[in-house]
Amino acid sequence: MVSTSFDEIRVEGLYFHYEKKPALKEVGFSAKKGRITAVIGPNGAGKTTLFKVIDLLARASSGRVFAGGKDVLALPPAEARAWRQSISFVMQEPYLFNMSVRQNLAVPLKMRKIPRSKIDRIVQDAIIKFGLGEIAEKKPFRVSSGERKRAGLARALVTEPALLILDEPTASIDPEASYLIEQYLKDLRAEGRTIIMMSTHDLFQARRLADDVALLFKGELIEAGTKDDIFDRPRNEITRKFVNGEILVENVRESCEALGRAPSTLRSTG
Amino acid sequence: MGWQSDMTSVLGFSIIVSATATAIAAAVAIPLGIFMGMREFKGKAVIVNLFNSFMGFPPVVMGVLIYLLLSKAGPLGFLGLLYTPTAIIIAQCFLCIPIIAGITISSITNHSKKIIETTLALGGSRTDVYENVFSENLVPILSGVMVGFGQNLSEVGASMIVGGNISFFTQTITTAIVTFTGQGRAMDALLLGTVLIVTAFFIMFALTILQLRARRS
Repeated sequence: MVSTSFDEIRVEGLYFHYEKKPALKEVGFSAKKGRITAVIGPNGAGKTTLFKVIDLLARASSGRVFAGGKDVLALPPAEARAWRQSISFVMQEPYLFNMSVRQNLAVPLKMRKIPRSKIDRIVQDAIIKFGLGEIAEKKPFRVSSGERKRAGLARALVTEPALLILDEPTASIDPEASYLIEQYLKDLRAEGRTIIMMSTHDLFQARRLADDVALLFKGELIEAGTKDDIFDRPRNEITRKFVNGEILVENVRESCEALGRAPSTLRSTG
Repeated sequence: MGWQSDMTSVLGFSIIVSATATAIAAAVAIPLGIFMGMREFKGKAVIVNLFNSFMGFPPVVMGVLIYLLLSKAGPLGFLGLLYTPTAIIIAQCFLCIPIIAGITISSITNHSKKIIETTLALGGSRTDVYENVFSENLVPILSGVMVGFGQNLSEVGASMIVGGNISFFTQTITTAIVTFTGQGRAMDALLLGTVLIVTAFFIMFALTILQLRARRS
């Protein structure tokens, strides 16, 4: 049985193949309690796959994920649920069930057989904490994308997970909603009880929020370290190019060339 | 008065038979549809296409097949079910299963991945997964049940062949319409047709309200 409380999660030599093609290649890094670890990388780098493997939603080809002294990838199916119950994974577009936001927040608590009276109290506290009062009784199709993300985050946190994984928590939402989510994450870090792991495309956000950063590129972990190591003292050429935005420009140029277009502005940069 | 009372009993019989057949078909088709919709396997497309093709299966051909099965010379002839309400229920069941299963599979195949992942990620069990997949797809599943019930209530070929259109025993409202038309009682047939349409309308209306509630609740 994996402990529901652990201070560190360590990924070692993780491989994942999608239709025989490697989507993750020997990925290894660690994330610690009370710190935000940002997993950065371009589209298709393997960030979502990595998170799904950690949450046991996808089966790794090989490798290990250590938490509380146990390899969670080697857990028998009966214990896989206990592992998932000790962590929370918020997907890029959180799926809210066809019920009110308030009822959605109660779902993970009901799954853990928490008494009704306690559920009501925890949910009400979360509604206040995350400013969901106005949408608490609304159905998912009546809430905005930003509110949906906030509700998804609130639902993930009502269970007080030891590890919170967020896949692009502020992608495609307005700056105000994005700011609110960043504040919640900072508050959560300040409480010091949770390992926070998030992916982001936004390098400025990674600089603002993260304590530690891991760069994934084409399924490989290029470099991992503190935020300052990665952004200010990159040891790897790919890391340097990525944090300077050069890889982004190269990717755009490749996409343009694939489409038969070659914008002069892009050519002049290279 | 007598005619009215006869018609009421025929109408009641039709509704009971069609509702029973739809309920049995739903009990088989919904779990089957959920199971198949949630899984990816080799040959799934073929099976889904087969279900979709059988959605338009002609009731009269189904009637013949069930007749061959239940007739004295048939493999299930010893059960003595031919020309009984049970025979009609069996035929309507087989007509209805592909409709409900097909609609369920199509809805679940398109919408289940996120529901499954979210339920598991929230710490749910396999039972929670099935419950959520079912409840999140309740509206399209109910649509399937409604279409199936409508098909059963309005079909005539299968009921005529396996039920035998025996007055006060296996005569449904649609087979009675055929009989009246054959007897030259066109106005009576038309009246019965109107009763069938109005009844179907109210039943579908009630099911639609149920469906809307499922969407809102």
